[in-house]
Amino acid sequence: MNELLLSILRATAVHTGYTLVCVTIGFVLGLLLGIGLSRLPALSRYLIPLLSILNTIPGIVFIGMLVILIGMTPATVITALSVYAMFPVLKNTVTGLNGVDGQYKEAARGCGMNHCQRLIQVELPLAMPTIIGGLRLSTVYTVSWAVLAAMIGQGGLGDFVYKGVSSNNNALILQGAIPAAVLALVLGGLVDALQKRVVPKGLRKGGAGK
Amino acid sequence: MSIAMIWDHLSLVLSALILAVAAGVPLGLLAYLCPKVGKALLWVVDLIQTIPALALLGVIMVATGPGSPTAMTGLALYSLLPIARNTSLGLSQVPGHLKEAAAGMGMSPAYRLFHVDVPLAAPMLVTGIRIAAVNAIGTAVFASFVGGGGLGGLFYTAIRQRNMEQILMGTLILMAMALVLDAGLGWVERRMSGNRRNKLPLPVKAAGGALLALASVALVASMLLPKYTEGQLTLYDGDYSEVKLMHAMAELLVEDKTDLEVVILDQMTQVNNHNELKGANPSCDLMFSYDGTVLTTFLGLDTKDIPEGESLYDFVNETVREREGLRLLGKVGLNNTYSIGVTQSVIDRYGVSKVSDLIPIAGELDFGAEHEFYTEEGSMKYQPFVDFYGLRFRSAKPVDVVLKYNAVESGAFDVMVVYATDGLNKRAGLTILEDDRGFFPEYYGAFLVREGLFADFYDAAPNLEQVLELLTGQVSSEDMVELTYAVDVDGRPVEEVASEFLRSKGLL
Repeated sequence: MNELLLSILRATAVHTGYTLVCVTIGFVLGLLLGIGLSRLPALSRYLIPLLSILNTIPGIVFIGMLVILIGMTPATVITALSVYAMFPVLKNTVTGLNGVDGQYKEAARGCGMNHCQRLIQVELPLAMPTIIGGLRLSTVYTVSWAVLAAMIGQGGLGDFVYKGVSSNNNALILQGAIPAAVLALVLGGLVDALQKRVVPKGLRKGGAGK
Repeated sequence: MSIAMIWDHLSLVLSALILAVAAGVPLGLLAYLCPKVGKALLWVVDLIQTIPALALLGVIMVATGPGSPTAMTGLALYSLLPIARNTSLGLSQVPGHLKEAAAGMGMSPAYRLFHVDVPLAAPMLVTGIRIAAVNAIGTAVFASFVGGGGLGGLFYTAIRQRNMEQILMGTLILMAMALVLDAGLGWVERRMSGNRRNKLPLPVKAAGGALLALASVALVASMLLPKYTEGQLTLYDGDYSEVKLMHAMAELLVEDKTDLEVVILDQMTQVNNHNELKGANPSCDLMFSYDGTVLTTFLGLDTKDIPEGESLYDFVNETVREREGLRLLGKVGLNNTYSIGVTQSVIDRYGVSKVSDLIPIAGELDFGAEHEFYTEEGSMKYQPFVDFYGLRFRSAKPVDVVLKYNAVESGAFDVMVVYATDGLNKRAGLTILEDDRGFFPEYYGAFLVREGLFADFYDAAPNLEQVLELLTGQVSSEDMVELTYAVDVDGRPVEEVASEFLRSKGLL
């Protein structure tokens, strides 16, 4: 029993590792690309759909191709999951930045802020709830996608799931599914806590702006 | 790849998205209107997202029946998260002063919700649907585990065969689908957000909306309709070439020698196919399987459960009849047991020919197998195997059964568990080692049928049993290696290879 618990904990740790690494990479990429594309509306009209279609590549195809290019290593898993994790952040960043009311941008310009200041001090804070909303989607998605790591022998909770599914063993599937669900709840809760902190003071309920 | 398959895939995605929007947007609204209940609901949606697809589909299949209803429901559940989350997020971000202004103008809360809050939240809401749409297009490949059709089966076959052209074509089609859907949703977004004046007159809008709603309902309903198979001998397609070939042979023979019509539905895994065959409400009539698979995977038994002196086949046949009302027809001949294959470089370096030759060199070799081989129950598994021979491999990794030949060809393994009759062994340059101490039991292939099958079809085909038994003893392991090679490596169509084989045996 202890051994079982240990193996579940070990798999959960690997799973958490994949999730954190991939969500971080995906978040940074998505945020930067999102900011860039929101500045270039003409380009983003064509580029966003092109980036979005990366997410339509089925996991098994993406990973199957990467196995041939990179081999059966954690790098394969991280590459695929980071690309997948990028999209919700990117999409929500662009939506959030585009949704910033023109009056605030004008006010900021009127205060003499330059482009960079406006972005960092006005637009990003106002768009932050939406961007973090994208991060939350990515996080929960990646917890569920990280099961794919087991497809190429790279561990994680997917190991139990794959073994359980192939041998018709529900107990094994649950061994993987329950910790994954808990992990999603915990990480989702962390992002929610972050969400509360990044909402600008003026926009919080009962805050100065009300 | 045919237009029908593409349409299948697209209608699966569309119907699932319709369901997901129909459920997700109200959920998001609820989460916004009463945050306490809503929060709990959104957590549940998070949880659904983390349930492994295969497990979720298995559960749904019990409730909704196999094929497209299961695939649609599963895909809709996986699409719920971004839609529900973004709806509630978008609504909660409507600036307070606008809400106050609306209240000040005397709008009722309901009027305000639909005329102020929702239009302002529309971009977020549609962003959620767009995220769901692109993900659903890729995720829909899982439909092929449960007979749900679409492009999934094609991808799995193409990856196994390393058919780059096919993979690329399939991926491009998925991408094109995503672009079209995304453009459509972008158009909806622009219509819904209040930024530009809506120029269409109200009757046109109402008619358009009604038409769209009607089309949506029709599409979802069409997915729920059971495929009409009354009076037809029904099979599901197999998820790998050997089963596909045997099912095609059964179809060819039965249609040639009886008046019965045979229908082969979309592909399914062995485990799911068996679940559809047993029980009170079977949705198919027979499937090709193996006595060893029935024993271990379907019945959950092991070779040590077989009474002394009884053969595996006889024991399985008796037990499966008692427990599940199924029985095996005669063995077709092939023995698709587990085998140990080694790469050419191992042969060149060490000149091995039997499994026991690996004992002294195992420490320098990497071992690979599909996940099933690493499970704990049963004796035909990794640990009992290495203990039996005294093998200590340098590493042992599980890999998805679809990807394993890609893995061994990329040099990830030196030794791999393979199936004896797999034509891909030859392509991958794997040499099968002799199981010299007899570890692996037999896996004789045979048709597994419902016990009442021949009585049910007696009027239409009194000779059905004899026709199916024509295959008994006719397909040897060597034959099957050649047949799967023709399909998996030469890329020839299954029906053509099957019919050619039957003709060569004088059965057709």
